[in-house]
Parts: sequence; C-alpha cells; structure tokens
Amino acid sequence: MIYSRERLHSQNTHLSWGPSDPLLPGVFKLFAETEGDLIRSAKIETGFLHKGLEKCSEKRNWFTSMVSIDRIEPETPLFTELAFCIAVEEICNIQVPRRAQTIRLILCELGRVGSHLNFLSRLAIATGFETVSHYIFRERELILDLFELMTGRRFNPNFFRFGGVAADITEGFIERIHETTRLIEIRLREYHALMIENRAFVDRLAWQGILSTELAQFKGLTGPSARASGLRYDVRKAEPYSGYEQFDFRVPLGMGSRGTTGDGFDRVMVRLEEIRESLLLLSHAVDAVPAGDFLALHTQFEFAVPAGEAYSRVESPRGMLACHVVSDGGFHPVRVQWRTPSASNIEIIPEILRGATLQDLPVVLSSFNLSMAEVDR
Amino acid sequence: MTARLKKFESVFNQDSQTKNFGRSEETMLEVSSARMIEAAAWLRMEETFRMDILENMSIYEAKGRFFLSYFLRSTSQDTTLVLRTSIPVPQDSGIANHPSVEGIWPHAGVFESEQGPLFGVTFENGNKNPSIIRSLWKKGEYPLRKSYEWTNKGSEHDL
Repeated sequence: MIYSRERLHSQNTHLSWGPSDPLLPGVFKLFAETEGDLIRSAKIETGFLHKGLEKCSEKRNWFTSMVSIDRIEPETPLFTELAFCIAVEEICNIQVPRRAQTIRLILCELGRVGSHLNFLSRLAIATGFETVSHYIFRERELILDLFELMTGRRFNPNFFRFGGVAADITEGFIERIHETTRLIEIRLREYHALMIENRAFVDRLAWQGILSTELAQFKGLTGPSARASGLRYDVRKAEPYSGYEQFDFRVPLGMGSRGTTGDGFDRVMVRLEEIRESLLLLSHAVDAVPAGDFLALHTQFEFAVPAGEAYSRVESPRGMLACHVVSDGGFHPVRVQWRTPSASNIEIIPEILRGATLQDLPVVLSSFNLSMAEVDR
Repeated sequence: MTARLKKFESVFNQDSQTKNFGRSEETMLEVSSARMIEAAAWLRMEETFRMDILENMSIYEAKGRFFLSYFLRSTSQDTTLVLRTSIPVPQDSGIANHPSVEGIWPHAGVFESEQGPLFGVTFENGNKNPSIIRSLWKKGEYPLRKSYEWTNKGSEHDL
C-alpha cells in the first residue's frame, strides 16, 4: 500500500548506493528517490568493472581466446565456452561427435545446478536465513568437485574445444554424478522444508518485485526470471543444441503459488524446479553417453577460421546467452560480441523498484540473480 | 524465397538484399542505412513478420565500414532473422551517427548504450542508459575500433 505524503509526514529523499555496497548484488550504482521508506523512482549506473574482454578476444588467437571467454561469467564459464565453440564450429563446418555433445550437456547442466544453488545461497543471506546458505554451499562444493574430477579445475575450466572437449570422461565420473544427483535431490527436500515451508521466508518474497509477462517481454528479459513471469522461452527447447533434443525435460513456469505470478517467490520456485529438472536430465544423460570420439579435430595455436560469421544461442542459468563471431580467415577473431542475460535483465530493476520499500530492496535485487561480471564484460 | 520475403523485397527493392546469415539457414536482410529505420519499423509492424523482440545488436568493423546487425525474433511467427546495415567509419577519430531503434524496440537502449561508446557511434534519438563506459577512455579513443592502439599501459583510472 502506498500512503500519501501528508500521512507519512515525509519529504522526498535522494539516496544512492554503490558502486561497492553489501546491499547490492554486484558493482553498480543505484540511485533512488524515496518518500519515507517508499521508493518513488530509481535508476542504475553500470560499467565500473568493465574488463574489455570482447577486445581481448580480438587480440588473442582463436585457441587462446577461450581464456578470456571463461572470464565473462566466472560462476558459469562453460556456457560462454559452449556458445563460442558452437559459433566457431558453424563457421568451420565442424561436426561435433555425439559423445562430445553429451559431455558438454552434462557439464552445462552441472553448471546450471551449481549456479542455481549459489542463487539460493545468496537469497538465503538476503532474507536472513544464513544457516541455510551454509548448507547450500555444501552441495555447491560437490558440483565443484565434479568439475575438478572431469576438467582438472574447479573454476575457469577452459575445457571445451572447437569440435568437442579437451578430455574424455574420467574414471568414476558417472558414478559420482549418480551419487551427487541423488544426494542433492534429498537435500532439496530439506531446503524446501527450511525455506519454502517457512512463513517468514515466504512473506519476504511473495508479492515482492512483481514482474508482469508484458513488462518482461517489453524489456527483453530471458531465463528463469522471465519464465517466473510466464514467458515460455527456453533456448534448449526453442532451438535445441548439443543434443538437448534427445532428452525429455520440463520448462518450469511461475504459477503464483503463494503470491502472484512473477513475484520474488515465483523466481525462487522456478529455479528450484529447474534444479530438479537438471538433476533428472543429468541422470538420464550420463546413462546415455554414446561411444565414440570426444574431439573431432586437434586445434593448434596456428588454427585459422575461414572467413565468415555465425551467431549462437545457449540457455545459461540466467537466461539467453548469445555470441556473434566474425572471422576474416585469419588467426584472430575480427569480432566476438556477447549478449549476456544479466546485461538485459538489469534494465528491469528501476521499474521493479518503483513502489517497493527500502527494506525489501536487497531481497528484490537478489531474486533476479544478476551477475555484474556479465554486465561489465 | 518465401512470399513474405518477396513482400519485403517489393517494398525495399532498390535498397535491400536478402541472403543467408553465414552458413546457417537464418535469413539476413541487408538494408541501406538511409532506409534502415523504415525497414525496422516495417518488420516490427508487418503482419507476416511481427518481429517483436530485438534479441541482440552487434557492431563490427571491416573494410572501413561499421556493420550493424540486429538479431530479431518473432514470438507470434516463431521465427528469427537478421537485419543488417552498414555505415562508413569516420576519419580522424570522428563520431559516426546512426538513428536509434529504441522507438521500435524499447530494449535496444541496452545494446546501443553499451556498444556506441566503445565504437564511437552515436545513436540519435536514443535514450542513453547511464554507464560510465564512455568516460573510461580519452576523447577520441574508441577501443573496439580497429584503429585503436593496444598498449600494455594502464588507463588513468588504474590505481
């Protein structure tokens, strides 16, 4: 409810946070005009951590570009690697072996589970459920252990190659995935009891930061935040890649189960359901890894890509990640341009904050799961 | 060629060209910069296209020109296409001007305000999103242009 200024006995106040502030989910500036504790208008300013990674790709050769591409979103680097590989493979007309495609799918779904767990953990801190956040990090560690087992690295794996992946499946990896998916499935029920069935948690998120389907579409939102508002778009279903068409999985949508469709609670529920779907997908995929090669060709430093261009889309944990690659036939890319989901999704923040109260600010911002590394790439 | 693409060519006959985008089967419509806004508005409104989502906008420099690619998607027709135009790269670190498509796709401001300062392209009538990107380089320096001198020296903002 918005009270009149006379009733509140207050005047407009201009507040600003950032660029570095624990209230914010990353490095950006937030300006708000408030009346009492109500936010009348808000605007954001970004660019404080601009890393020039698109330019870095132009200065490196095709092979070593992957190093800077890993840094675009350090939490989920395999999605940027995949988008870049798909685009280059299209220009070079490289057929990726089915075994390599399935390995890529498995690692990406592990990355999705890890990213959504991280989101739940951050949201638990924002809502005052810090104990739960520690429990969730325990499962996130299991995902990182699996990355280490398969790629040799917990972060920035630099594992995908043009035409496949860098190595075949490590011994014991499939068994560990089965164990981990079963364990996370059990722990999800615990989190459900601790958070979703806790009235204090529900009250912090239901009816908060409501995003309508029309506004989500108007602002070009993608990913779980858009699907929570009822926008049924998932690149894995709309334009399947890397063998997703072979597997049956559900795309969860916001149902307004505790508040209304598109509120903060729906954004949590959609991600929780996506974790479950990814776990199911993982358990099917690891049992269906086809025999064959894991790499179509061995690229070297002097690898040249024929003149041409390609555009690839993948569904990252935050939404549609797209990559436009241009080559002039040389050893370096002419252009590697990224469309990252957070750079688009952050535009909704001023609209969403209008009418919110100051105490809801961290919760509303956290519920969108923005990554400033993606925005300032 | 489908009937709807023929319709597009009949309207923008002299100023457009239809191609495949790269190796893909995705359609790319190349339009002269003078009729770019008209073509964008036509694709947004025309019943057989209804390209209601601007998925991405990308600029790259080649052969002395900036190539602007608009990656479009239609939710009603369930199709995608690429709209492309090109403008010459200005001499002597000048600024290039191009009309903004924010009036057609409100979401365009995200891409225009990000890539505009890095290439030195001003999008006329665009609603500038606040970003400090444009203040990170000296006047006349545009890092994504091919003429930009890449050095190992840090910028004046580095500590």
